[in-house]
Amino acid sequence: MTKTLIIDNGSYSVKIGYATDDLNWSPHIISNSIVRTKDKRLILGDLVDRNQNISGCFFKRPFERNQLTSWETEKLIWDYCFNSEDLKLHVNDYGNDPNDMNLILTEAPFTLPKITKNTDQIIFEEYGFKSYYKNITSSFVPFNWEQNEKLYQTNQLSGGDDKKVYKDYQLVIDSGFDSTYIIPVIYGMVYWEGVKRLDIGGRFLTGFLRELISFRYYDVTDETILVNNIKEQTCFVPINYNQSLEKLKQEKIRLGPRPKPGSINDNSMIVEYALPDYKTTTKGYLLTDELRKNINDVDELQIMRLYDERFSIPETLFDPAIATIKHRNGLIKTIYDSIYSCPELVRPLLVSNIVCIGGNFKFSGFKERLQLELKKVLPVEWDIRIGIDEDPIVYGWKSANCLATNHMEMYEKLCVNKSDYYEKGWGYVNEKLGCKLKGW
Amino acid sequence: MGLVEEIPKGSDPNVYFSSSINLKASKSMYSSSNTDQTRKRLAAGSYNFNQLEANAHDSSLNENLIELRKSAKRHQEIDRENYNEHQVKIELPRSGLHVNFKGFVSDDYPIFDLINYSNNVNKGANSRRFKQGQTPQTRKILISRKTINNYFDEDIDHAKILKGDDLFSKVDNNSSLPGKKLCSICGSNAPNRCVRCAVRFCGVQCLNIHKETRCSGYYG
Repeated sequence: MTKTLIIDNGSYSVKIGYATDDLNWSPHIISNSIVRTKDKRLILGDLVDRNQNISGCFFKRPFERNQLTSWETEKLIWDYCFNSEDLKLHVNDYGNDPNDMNLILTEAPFTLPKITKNTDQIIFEEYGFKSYYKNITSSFVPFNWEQNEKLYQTNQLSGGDDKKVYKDYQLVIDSGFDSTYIIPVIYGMVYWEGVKRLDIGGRFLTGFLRELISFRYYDVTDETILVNNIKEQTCFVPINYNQSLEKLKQEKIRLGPRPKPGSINDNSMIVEYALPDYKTTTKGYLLTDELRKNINDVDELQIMRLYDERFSIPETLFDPAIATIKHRNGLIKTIYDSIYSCPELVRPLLVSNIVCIGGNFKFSGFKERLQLELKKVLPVEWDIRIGIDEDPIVYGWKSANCLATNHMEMYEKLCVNKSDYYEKGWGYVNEKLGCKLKGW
Repeated sequence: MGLVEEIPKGSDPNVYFSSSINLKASKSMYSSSNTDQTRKRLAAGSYNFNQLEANAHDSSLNENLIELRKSAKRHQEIDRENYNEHQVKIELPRSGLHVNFKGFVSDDYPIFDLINYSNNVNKGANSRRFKQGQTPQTRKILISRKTINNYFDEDIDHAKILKGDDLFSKVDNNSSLPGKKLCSICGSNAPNRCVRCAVRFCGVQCLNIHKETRCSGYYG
């Protein structure tokens, strides 16, 4: 049987795995980077976690500004994914052969034609896959409509019992490492005229946190991994920014300038992060109540207290002015503009089918905040339903898996065969798989 | 009265010269009102239209442009993964790395180095010269070290769309929504501004830190 390999090639990580019938299976997540460590070794990004020393790492990524420019790096990472024993994909081994394999690949929106051409050539000429389909990650989400419905379930449609499933209209918010895209998908096709972009992604948020910590507490300008870990473990999206600030202020006053040990617990707004001291920890960790009980002398640890950083970092997505970036719209205005650049009839339908994918939606409280803010700007009679999966990073991959397992006949129609590529050339491939914006 | 007046030689063509015969503005009058030292002094009765117009209409637009550029620069500054990006550049060898990863188990290599690993593999039994890329086209792709700016330069039309206004949501400059008033040092609510540079601060402590470190000393 012909296997189907699915690669969600994001600018931060590669999500890779064979299509399976088990729709809940999560793919492998491999960091899409090459790292130069402090002792000047070059290693693959995925091996960094096993490398104990995370300080002073420099990243080189195949993606620059969401465009896959450096194929020599990307090929190394793919080769590792395909062949190594760590993942056990064995693309060239154990009876597997790319010449008898389908490939579903995702790419970034608005990839330059020259860069797309490189990708197509590498796929067919270097690896030689039998057939190949490529689209942006968000375009796969409607295929996963059963799961999407489950995600919305907490806030049902109003207006009686006849719950119609409007799976043909889907608004996808893809907030990744490089930038955030709002993508309307109508009848399974991306409505390119409505696609809007916000130049804030995970890298920006990490950079902003790095700047804040470096200015206020310790110099962490070279500790990208540490700062990223801190961001992932401590940050959350506030329901109301000003209220959170006020709450924090009250707590600061209550605790005084030097809080006593034990006065900060899991319920407080302030968190404590144990920094790497290279005696007890080399990576740093978040101090929780459980850990505080087990550790004998907390004073020995080098602790950094985080105050408003916890919620002002994610808040930058909604209001870039926090990072003193003026004349840029936040997420809500971008979503609003995207909805309003779609045909008028479709707008309410799009609003009731919003799915969020991408790593930034791992911040807790995102769903509630989005719901609240969208309600403020959109007409009252529109039902706003937002779905965020527990693991929004791999949700795009899982949706692509739905295409491969449930709709194989559709894949047959969409894909480009290798024989077609050699016969009709790259122009044919691009006509079928390329970006379909007018004037692109 | 058919008086013909000669325009002084070497006068600026941008400057409109009108008759100064009936003008009786004394020098002292100018100097008392005009304290701007940098302004170019013009002959009596002449007006620089470019400058007048700029003063009347464009000043707000100019300010906007400056702020936009400032924001873009600031965005670039934050939006970097490696802070000292210009200092370190990671380059892979042009001839390519002979790394196959077949049967590779990362636990076997606690201290892994791509370059070392590829050299070792090259030394082994499979010592024939490693060729990067199966076909001429793919070899070209794998050897090329183009950066994103090279691609943008080659493909100006598409780059324009990518940077253009259509892709981003339009900014409403006249929006009356108030921004957040946050302290530039600690991030809490701040009603006050620094007297010298108009950056917000929340209290005396933060003001002192601000004065020592970030105060640029001028408005704007």
